[in-house]
Amino acid sequence: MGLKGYVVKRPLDILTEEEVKRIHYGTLEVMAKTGVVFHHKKALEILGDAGCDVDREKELVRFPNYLVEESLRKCPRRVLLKGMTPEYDVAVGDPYVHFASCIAMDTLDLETMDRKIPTMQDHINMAKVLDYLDEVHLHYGQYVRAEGVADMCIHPQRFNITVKHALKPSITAGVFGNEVWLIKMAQVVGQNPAGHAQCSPPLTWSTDKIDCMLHYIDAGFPILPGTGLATGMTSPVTLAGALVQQQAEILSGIVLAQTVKPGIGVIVKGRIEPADMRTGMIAEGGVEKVIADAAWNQIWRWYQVPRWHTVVSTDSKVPDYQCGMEKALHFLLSALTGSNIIAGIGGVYDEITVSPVVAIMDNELARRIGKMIDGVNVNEETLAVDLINKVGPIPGQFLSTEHTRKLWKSELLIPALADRMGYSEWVGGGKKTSLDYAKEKYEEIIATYNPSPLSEDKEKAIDEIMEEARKFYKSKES
Amino acid sequence: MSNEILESLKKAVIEYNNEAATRWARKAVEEGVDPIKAVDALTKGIRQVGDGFSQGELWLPELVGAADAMKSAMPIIEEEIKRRGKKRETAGVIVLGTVKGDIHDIGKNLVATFLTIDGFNVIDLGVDVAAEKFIKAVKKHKADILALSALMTMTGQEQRKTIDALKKEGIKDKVKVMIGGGAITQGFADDIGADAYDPTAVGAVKLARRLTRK
Repeated sequence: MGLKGYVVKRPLDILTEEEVKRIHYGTLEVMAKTGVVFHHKKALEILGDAGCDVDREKELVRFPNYLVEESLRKCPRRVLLKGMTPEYDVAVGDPYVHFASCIAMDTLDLETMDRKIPTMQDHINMAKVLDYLDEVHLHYGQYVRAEGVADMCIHPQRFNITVKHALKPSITAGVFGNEVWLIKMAQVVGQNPAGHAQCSPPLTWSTDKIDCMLHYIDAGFPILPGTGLATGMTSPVTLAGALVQQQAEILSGIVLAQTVKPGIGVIVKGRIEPADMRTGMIAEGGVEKVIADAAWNQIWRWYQVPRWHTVVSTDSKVPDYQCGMEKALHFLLSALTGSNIIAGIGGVYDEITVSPVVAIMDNELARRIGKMIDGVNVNEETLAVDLINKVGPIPGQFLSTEHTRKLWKSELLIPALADRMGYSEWVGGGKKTSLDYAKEKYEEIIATYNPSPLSEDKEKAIDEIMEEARKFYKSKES
Repeated sequence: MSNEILESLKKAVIEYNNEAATRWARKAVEEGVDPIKAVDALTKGIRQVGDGFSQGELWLPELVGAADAMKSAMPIIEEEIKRRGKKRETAGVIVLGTVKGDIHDIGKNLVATFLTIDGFNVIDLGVDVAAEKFIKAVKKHKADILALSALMTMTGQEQRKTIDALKKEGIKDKVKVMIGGGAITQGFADDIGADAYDPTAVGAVKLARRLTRK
């Protein structure tokens, strides 16, 4: 039962075991010597009671090594994120790789490929497309804004749309205090999206993020401690140094969570991105980000904690060569190094725009990567020794054999969007590109895919929570 | 002596040396060096680094290093300017900060650095700054420009609140407002009634020049 994803049989190491340990010991030293700031009274109390050295005035917590390692051992090896029915559940953890969508501010106009503010209909269409695509196993929401929706209401609103139009689970949901509505909605539909709480680098947890984490723990949902470093800006410019700092930030969150509720599910989320020293802008498609994520995957494989990392993205503003190149390289190395969740399906231009048409193209990319991870299937039948002996030298051939008829479909990936025609056929067919095929597919999905996962009662309950949220933020505005 | 001190101030900036900048600033005051000339020397240093940056020879880490050195010296020199009852010429006064609820300051700091290099007097209020605090500073320093930074879509709303508060105070037409930050767009700037927006720190300087053109 559950969505399958891919199995990484032999994950690729990019660090030596010695290097992994040096990063880990560096992290432990930073946590014990300098510590991490928690702007949160209750968290300071909890961590003090757990055996940390707490400086209440500076709100600084220093962590003894044993406590960090003990907390790591309390993390479950797998986290089950629930879909609308058990067949859509996703088990996050080794040895699986699952793909997830991307969340962004804006969408791309389907004709001009210009950036535009999404409408609520765009939200619905995006949720449907993502739910339809075979290689998308997890929803990460659609957009963080919509025409006519107040900003603070957008997270409840978009989650509302996901649960009404999709069957697959959501990785995560609310932030900024609005998680209370999302938790309620998830409870109505029986889902358990992980609570995303993001540390502010360097080494600082803000009040609202810890509140968010505690709300999710309270609800018994898994948590998703994350961080986001810009090298040379909010972390050392060196990847090794950034990794040390990043681990310290995430592990400090894990210690808090495992102290509050031992055994709570944890999916970690790292993010190391290079800042371009010419402009200060983050290079979303930077190859350093890909390398950092590969190292991250290896370290957390060693810790045996379920993991995802930066949303795979690109600096390109349109689905062009740069977009495809940057995303393909990142998807591939992340899959090979054992990321459990690879998010970024549909994203273009940082986390600023996301497009359903790009999602359809990324689905194709994910299929190919999945096929590569599956690798070579070796057994008596596939080795075909008897067959080769039987067919022998020329004029022997394999096209007419039962073996080919039976196995070609499982051995070959038939691309849905790529052009493999001869030149004249391609010209005759209107010189279509993969973008054209993706647009056609988009129209087809929107016209035909209409899951309605919720009963009338549940839909009503969801609407009531949404209304509650609206009223709450309206009263705060005035 | 005076020349040696002025040269050393400039050198401290182009060598990114905070300690030397502080030391030579104190020395300048002790030896009675004209503080306006001391500011000029520091400015020459930061301009030289700024030119290197424009030509692609130096990068942000060098630029920020030079700005830090200048910042180490400035309070000492400014105190002396005040003591002598003098005033230094600037391209304009800019009050700047990251809005309430937002603690991101790297982008804001870069904007402050570029504006300082260009000759503006930049009063940086830091991060998590409430609307009232901005208004107080705008009045106190008779600011020409108020520059508001916000990284997130959520905190962008604080930029709107600050502009609304300026209107309420009746000083919206006395100060130009420029906004920036990761999630901000021209459309949003227009919507909340900001006078100008640019996505980059270098662009912010062009905006500031345009807005202060008399």
